[in-house]
Amino acid sequence: MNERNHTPELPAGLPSGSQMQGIRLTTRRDPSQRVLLDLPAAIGRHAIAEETVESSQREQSEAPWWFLSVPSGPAEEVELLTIARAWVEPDGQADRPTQVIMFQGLQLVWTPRRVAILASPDRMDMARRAVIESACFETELSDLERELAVLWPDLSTDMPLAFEFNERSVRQRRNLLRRFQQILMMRARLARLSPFVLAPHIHPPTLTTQIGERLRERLRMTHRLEAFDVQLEVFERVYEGCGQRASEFMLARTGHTLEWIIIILLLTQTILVSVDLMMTLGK
Amino acid sequence: MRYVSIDLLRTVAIVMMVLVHFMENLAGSNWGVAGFGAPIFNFLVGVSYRVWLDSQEKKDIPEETIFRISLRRGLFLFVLGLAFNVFVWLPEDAFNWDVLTLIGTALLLLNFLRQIPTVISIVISLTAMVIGPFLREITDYPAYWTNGYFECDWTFSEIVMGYLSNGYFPIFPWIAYPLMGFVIASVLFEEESTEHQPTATTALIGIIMMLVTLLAVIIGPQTPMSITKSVLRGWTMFPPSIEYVMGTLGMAIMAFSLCHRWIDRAITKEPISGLLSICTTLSKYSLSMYLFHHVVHIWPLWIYGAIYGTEPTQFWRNAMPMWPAIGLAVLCLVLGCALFRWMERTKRPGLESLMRYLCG
Repeated sequence: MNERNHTPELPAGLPSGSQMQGIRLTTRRDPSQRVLLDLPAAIGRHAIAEETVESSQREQSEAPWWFLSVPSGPAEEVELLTIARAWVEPDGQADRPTQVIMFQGLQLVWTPRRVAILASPDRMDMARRAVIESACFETELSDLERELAVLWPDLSTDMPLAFEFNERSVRQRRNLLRRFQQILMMRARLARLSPFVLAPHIHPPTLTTQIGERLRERLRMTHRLEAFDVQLEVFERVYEGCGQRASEFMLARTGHTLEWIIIILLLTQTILVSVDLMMTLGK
Repeated sequence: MRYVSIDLLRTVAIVMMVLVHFMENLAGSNWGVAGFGAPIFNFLVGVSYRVWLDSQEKKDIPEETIFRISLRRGLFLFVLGLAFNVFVWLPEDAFNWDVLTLIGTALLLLNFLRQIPTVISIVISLTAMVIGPFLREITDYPAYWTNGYFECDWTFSEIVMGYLSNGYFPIFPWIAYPLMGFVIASVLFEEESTEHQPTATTALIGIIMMLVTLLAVIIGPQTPMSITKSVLRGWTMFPPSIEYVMGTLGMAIMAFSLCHRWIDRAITKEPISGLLSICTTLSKYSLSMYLFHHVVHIWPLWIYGAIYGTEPTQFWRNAMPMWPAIGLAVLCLVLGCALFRWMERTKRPGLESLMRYLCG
C-alpha cells in the first residue's frame, strides 16, 4: 500500500489508554482541521491530526508521522518497550538506527517516520508536543540534506561556468538562475532552522526542554547543520561565480551586439562599393 | 535527436524539387509551386545545424572540434557544389552557383554566427534580403539571364557577381533562409520541453510575414516605377524579389513551427513506421537524393543529345511533353525511395556518410 495513505495498526499487548496518532505537517491550516501544535512562526508549519486532513491534501503532502502513546508507570517496562520498538520498525529495517531515550521515567523510541512514547498519562501530552517539535526540526533538516544531495551532479556540470561564460552557455542561464534560487531558498530555510537547532540548553531543565535537547544530541542535529552549512557554502560560491560571469557576459554581449550591427552595416557598404567598383572597372 | 517535422518538411521540399526539375529540364514547363521547395530546404539547413549543434554540445564535444567539423563540412559542400556543376551541368556551368555552394557557404557562416548573439543572424538575414535588389540593380542582373537561364563569363568580377547576387542561388538574399532557420530553431529548442516552446509565437511571425508579402504584392504595382523596377518587383523566384523571399520565409517559419508543435509533440516514441519512416529515410539521404535525381535525368539528356543531336544540351527543356516528365519524376522518387531504404537497411554508405567520414 502507498506509504502516503497507509495507516499502521495499533499493536496488541498494550495497556488500555494506548493511542496511535497520525500527524501531518502542513504550511496552511483549515478551521476544520485539528491542530496538534503550531510550530514557531519562522518554521511556518502546523502539525495537523491525520484524520482531519482531506484526501486531496494527503496526496500533495509527504507521508505522515505516526505517534504511539503508551501510558506506563515510572519503572522501565521491557515488554512494552519491545512492542513499541517492533512498532516503530515494522519491517525491521529503519532508514536510520532507532533511537531509544530513557529519562525521568519516560521512554522514547524514535525513527524518522514513527515515534513511540511511553510515559505516565499526566506527562504524555507535554512529551508528545516536545517530540513533535523536535521531529519537525529534524524533518526540515533531513529535507534540506536530501535536496542538496541531488544537486551535486549539477554542481559539477555548472562549475566551469563560474570561470568562463560564452555564447554556448547563454542557454544555460535559466537553469543557473533556477539553481541559484534553490540554493538561496535553502540558505533562508537553514537560517530559520538554525536558532532552534543551535539553541543552548535551557536552565532549569524541564521535561519538554530535555526531550528536545536529547533528541538533538542523539540525532546529531548540530553537527549535521554545521556540515550542511559548509556544503551550502560550496554551492553558493559556485553559483555566485556563475551569476557574476553570466551577468558580465550578458552586459558585454549587449555592447558587442551593437558593435556587430555597425560592422555588418560597414561590411554591407563595403560590398556595395566593391561591387560598384568592379562593375565600373569591368566596363 | 531526429524531429519528424524536419524530415516531413524536407521530404515535401525534395518531392517538389524532383518534380520541378524534371518538368523544367525535360519539358521546359514551369509549375506554380516551383518556388517553394528551395526555401523550405534551405531553411531546414539552419534548423538541422542547430539540432546537430545541440547534440554536439550535449555530448560535451569541445568547441574546436565543432568548429573544425563545421568548417570541413561547409568546404566539402562548397567544393561538391562546384564539382556537381562541372560533372552534371557540364564544365561551362561550373560557376552557375547552385544550391550546394549556397549551403556550403551557409554552414561556414553559421559556424561563425553560432558564437555571437542570435540577433546578429537576424540582422544579416534582413540585410541580405534588402541589399539583394540593389546589388542586382548595380550588376545588371538581366544581362546574365538573357536566355532564361544564368550565364556568365569566366572573369573574376562576373564569377563574384554570380556568387553574390546573380547566380541561381546567390548568397544575397538566399543566405537569409538558413540563417533564419538557425534563429527559429535556437528560439524553439532553447526549452527542452515542447510544451514550453514558443511555437505559436514563431508561427504567428511567419503568418505576419506572409500577410505583409500579400500586401506588398497587392500594393506593389501602385507604387512609383523606380520602386517597382528594383525593389517591389512582384512574386519572382529568378530574381528572388523581396516579396518572394519574405513570403516563402514566412511560410517556412510557419510550416516548421506548426509541424513541430503538432507532429513532434504527438510522436514521441521510435521506431517510426509507415509514410513517416519513408520521410525519415529521404531526409537522411537528402544530399544523395539531390545528386541522384539530377544524374538520372540530366546525364541521359546529355548523352542522348551528344549521340542524336548537334550538341549535348540540344534536348534540354524540350526532350518530351510535360506529363511524361511528371511520370518520370514520380518513377525517380519511387526508385530513389527504394534505393535509399535498401541502403539504410544494408548500411550502405551514401554521400552523407562520405561527408561524415571526411569531415567528422
